[in-house]
Amino acid sequence: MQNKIRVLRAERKWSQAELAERVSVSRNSINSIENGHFEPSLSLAFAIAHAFESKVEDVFQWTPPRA
Amino acid sequence: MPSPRKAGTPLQMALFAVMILAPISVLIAIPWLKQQPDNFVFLYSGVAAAITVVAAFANSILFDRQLDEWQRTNARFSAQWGWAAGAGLMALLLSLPIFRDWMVSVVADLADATNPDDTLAILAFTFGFGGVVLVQGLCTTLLSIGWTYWKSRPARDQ
Repeated sequence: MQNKIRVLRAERKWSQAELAERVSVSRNSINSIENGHFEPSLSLAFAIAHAFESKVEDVFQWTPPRA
Repeated sequence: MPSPRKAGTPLQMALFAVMILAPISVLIAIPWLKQQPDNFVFLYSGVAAAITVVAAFANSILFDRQLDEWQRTNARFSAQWGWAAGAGLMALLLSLPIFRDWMVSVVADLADATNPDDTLAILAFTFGFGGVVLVQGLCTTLLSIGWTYWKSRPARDQ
């Protein structure tokens, strides 16, 4: 799963810590999600999208695994 | 989606203190406990162990509620593999004569035994360790079954 968190954060000049505070998780969570090392739950994905005032599919893009 | 972990609350700090103080009280009381009847020693250490377990259990519940999903995944990963690695390492250590000798000498010191039975001490420790691993396995299985039933229950609003 890919995401545009880094781009969306940069557009808003938000640090990872600031986004983390907005969605009530740790900065480590945001860092891992942003770098693609951790997949958030649906609930957290929606919360992150909501923080960016975007749709969840505009923040996260799911790519099917290669067969 | 819980908030990120904050500093411990006063209740958590108090529970942590209880968790530490109970076993320390047993260690401090060893010279006095040596003069007491066995039944009293077992009762005293049993009560201390129960207090520690209850405080640790309550603290872990409070701690878990403060974790976000990344931290919870971290805790699950480290607990799952940490227990397995720890149990394996302990089994490995028990196979080393130097470790067994050290263990017997510590037990002999604590029990004031001048000529301890090495085999008895090692067997007692090994059975204790094996018991912990077995009971942990049993509890893990029971909790897994309970979790499966809990998460498979029908929806309330349908």
